[in-house]
Amino acid sequence: MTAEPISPTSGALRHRGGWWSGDRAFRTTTLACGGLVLAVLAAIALFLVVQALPAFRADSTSFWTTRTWQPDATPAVFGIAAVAFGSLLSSAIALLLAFPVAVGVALFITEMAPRRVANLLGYLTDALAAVPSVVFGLWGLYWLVPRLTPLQQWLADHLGFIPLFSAPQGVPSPSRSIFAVSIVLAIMILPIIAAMSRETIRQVDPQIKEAALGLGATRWEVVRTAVLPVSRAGLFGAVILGLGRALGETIAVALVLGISFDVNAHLLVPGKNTIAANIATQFGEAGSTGRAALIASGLVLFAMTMVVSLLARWMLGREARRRGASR
Amino acid sequence: MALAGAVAVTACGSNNNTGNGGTVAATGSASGSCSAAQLTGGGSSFQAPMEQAWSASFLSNCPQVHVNYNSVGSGAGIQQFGQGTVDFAGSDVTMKPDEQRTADNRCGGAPAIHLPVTAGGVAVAYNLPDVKNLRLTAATVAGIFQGTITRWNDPVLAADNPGATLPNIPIVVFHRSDGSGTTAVFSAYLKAAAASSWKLGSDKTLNWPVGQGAKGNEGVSAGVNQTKGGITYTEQAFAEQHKLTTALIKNAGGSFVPLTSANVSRALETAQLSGTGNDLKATIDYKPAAADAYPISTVSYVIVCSHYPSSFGADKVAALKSYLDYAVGAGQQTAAQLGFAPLPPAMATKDRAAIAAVNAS
Amino acid sequence: MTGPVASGLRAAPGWRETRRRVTDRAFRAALLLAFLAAVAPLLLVLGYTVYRGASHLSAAFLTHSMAGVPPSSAGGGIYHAIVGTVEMVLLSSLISVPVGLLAALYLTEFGRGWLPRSIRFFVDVMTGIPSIVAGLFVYAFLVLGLHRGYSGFAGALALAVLQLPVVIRASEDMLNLVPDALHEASYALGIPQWRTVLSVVLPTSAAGLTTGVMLAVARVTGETAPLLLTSFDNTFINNNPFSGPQSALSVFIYNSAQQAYAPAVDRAWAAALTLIVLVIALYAGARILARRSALRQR
Repeated sequence: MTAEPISPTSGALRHRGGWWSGDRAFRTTTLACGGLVLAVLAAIALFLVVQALPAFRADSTSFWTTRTWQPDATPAVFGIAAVAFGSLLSSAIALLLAFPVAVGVALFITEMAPRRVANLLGYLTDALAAVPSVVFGLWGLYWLVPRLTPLQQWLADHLGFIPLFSAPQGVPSPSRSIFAVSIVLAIMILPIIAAMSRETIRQVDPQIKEAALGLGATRWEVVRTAVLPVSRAGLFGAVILGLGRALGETIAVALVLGISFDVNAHLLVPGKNTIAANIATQFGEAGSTGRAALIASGLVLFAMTMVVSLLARWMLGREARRRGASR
Repeated sequence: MALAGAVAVTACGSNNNTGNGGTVAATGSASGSCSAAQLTGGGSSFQAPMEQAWSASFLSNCPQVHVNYNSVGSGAGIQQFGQGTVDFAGSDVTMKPDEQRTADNRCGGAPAIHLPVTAGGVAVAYNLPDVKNLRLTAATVAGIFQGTITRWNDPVLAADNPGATLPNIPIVVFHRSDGSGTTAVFSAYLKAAAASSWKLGSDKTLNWPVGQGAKGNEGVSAGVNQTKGGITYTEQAFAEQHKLTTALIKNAGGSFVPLTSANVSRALETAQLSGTGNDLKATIDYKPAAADAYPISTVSYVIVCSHYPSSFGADKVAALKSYLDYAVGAGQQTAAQLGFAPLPPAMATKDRAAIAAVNAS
Repeated sequence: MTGPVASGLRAAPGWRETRRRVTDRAFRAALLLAFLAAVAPLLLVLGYTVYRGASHLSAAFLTHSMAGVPPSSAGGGIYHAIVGTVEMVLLSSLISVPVGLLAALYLTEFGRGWLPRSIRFFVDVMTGIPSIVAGLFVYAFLVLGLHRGYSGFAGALALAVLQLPVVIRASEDMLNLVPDALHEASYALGIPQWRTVLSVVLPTSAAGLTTGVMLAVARVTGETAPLLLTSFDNTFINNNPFSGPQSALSVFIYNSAQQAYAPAVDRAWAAALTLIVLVIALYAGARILARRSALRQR
């Protein structure tokens, strides 16, 4: 995904000794910072693994398939099946909802809006990121969920034949479901994805766009052929940041979701849980095994982010190689 | 530019809240020293409103003693006390053996002791607009929260409530999604009073077979507030704030008792203080027989060292003792208006003796 | 056969042309809809916050702490929380932005090899870190390990840990958008790498980098869990972030909103409104700074 970086020595340039030291200082400083970041992040990862180990020893059942969460009971019975499922489900839906809207907003601001208005509109979408997560949680709980419930009931009534939308015992009023939580999460990650996408799309070489326009392409075709393909890398970065936020969001989910430790695909009824919300709700009262178990679940969260990131990088790499592009 | 702004910001605030909601001096003066000290306490959110009220009114007695209490949860509070980062912990349940060992270590080998500082009741709150004064027994509560009783017009409920029109709607149970001392007390009551029907044990987190989890007393109360037919267990103050109707619970004497501060105090009169010496661990009697005793009542503790190591500082110990003495003495007068109950006088006396015995090297 | 070319310039458009136009119209409509879908939640959330909080804002509220005011009483203020948030976010950004930017520069300017790949890998993984983990880490090493106790600085460190992946990820992407041609031109003129970065790469990506910094700031101003473990909380004003517990707006909102007493909940919403306004002001300041530095380069 990253091309061979151009460096002044790659053409065997040679100059007087003066600027070598400047470059060496630059290289040393950036290397030091890079190394520091790696050291800190690796230390955190190590710290977490050490803290999580007692949990694996104490668990009397399978960590991967158990749904309940009772790490401080005797015997300790806990597993990540329910919380990991919920994390994946809620984040996937949130991304599915937020990504098209965010890219649409970014395109609207860069392609369609008049210049002066575009800046203002950019500020508007950025302002959404200024809202703290606890406010989203409270707003979701008190304002949004009661108003979403009629929609959820309609969906269950009319589209209930699709398992995702079925509600065997009806949709309660209000329904603090994964559907509602995903919408709140989508709103929270929207400004991140939109801001990054906007910057990426803005940097697309105007010559390519003009060439396409000159050939008689409509706006849609310009975007489809000239803008989006070259923006893949930046959009991918935006998605990763948005996904990270969605997976790691604790308090908003903890406040809005009607939590239970089930694994099912019914989006419209209260229930299920996420890893981050579980950590947020259980940490304060957990005993030592409980804390270790929560940290272990945090490690699973990392594994998820890692898998998605590696997968996406691989897909992007394949795409780039297929097109023969250098970037 | 940003730094200048930050400096400017730090110049214009005040800690002086007289006239801005700050309390005037509480009745009764603090005994003991008022030397300047910063005390940090953390733990139970159940007792947090009392701690914050005491911290506020104690300022009038000792303006130099700053007490910060943060409700991080009993488990975290005990952990942080054991690690020495907080000076005292608040907890709704007594420490487990390994926690006790860690706490004793922190105290340099001297035992860490429990001091009951406040009391309160757990309300069973429900949302049925046409039903006031719902009467519940321990067995029905156990049945509702385990999912064996699923509709409001169940015959068992109707039998206990002859005059009420119970609608034919499902019972929507709300329980705590987070670990909670309130859950621990509620389940301890059911384990004692409905032993044959209650299967979930007693702990801060339970493996609930039915119902939705909601975060905090706020979450469960709001849930019931929004849901017709909802029911939950919550602290008295939250039920009052969300204007939820609370049920009358049948105690061992056969009376259906409402939740009031007086009824909680009455129930705690039969609590036994176990624990050696000044460690005042209370064994709550969840089956009180007195006619006005509310059975789902509990105390909440502060955990301190009976003897602090010299590194802690003699001034801090003196300030802590003054603060706690105030809390279990004059500070009990604000309990009722905050939704708590004052400690039974006998318990408070033992408390003050234990506090007076706390010392430092 | 009719087609747009075969039928001449003034002929009626063929079905292909119509389809292209219709798709284009649909596309524009979709963009507009997306924009409205993005703005609506903002207005709703902001409106709700204003509705619940605006009436409880006052000068006294902004200039007093909660000292002496029990949670059940009206009165008191959030000055101590404002000080804490401002100091902690400033400190954490002062740490994470330079380090993150330099690390991102390392990745883009010297990007091959095992070290850059490992850094990218860890950064990607850490974008999903649950915030409490950052607090745990700083608690274990600073508060507990070095026996420094609770402090605003510990809180700032925890926030910096959360900001780092965002800064690096965003900056790397923005720096990668600078065309190679600019690099090449600069080197062809004999300008050393570090000067190129300073005078060509950074100014070109200034707008994007500012966005990345703003995202990082936004990431942490609302964080509660890591602060509970590091800066704890304080009802009194503490102007010194290096010693003693400090309050923060996020912690204040979180604690007050879940209280049983209406005055506490009212204060929480007023504090939430204050926090949002504060962050938007930070954004505006950052954008103005970026625009001014970009203009100066021209």
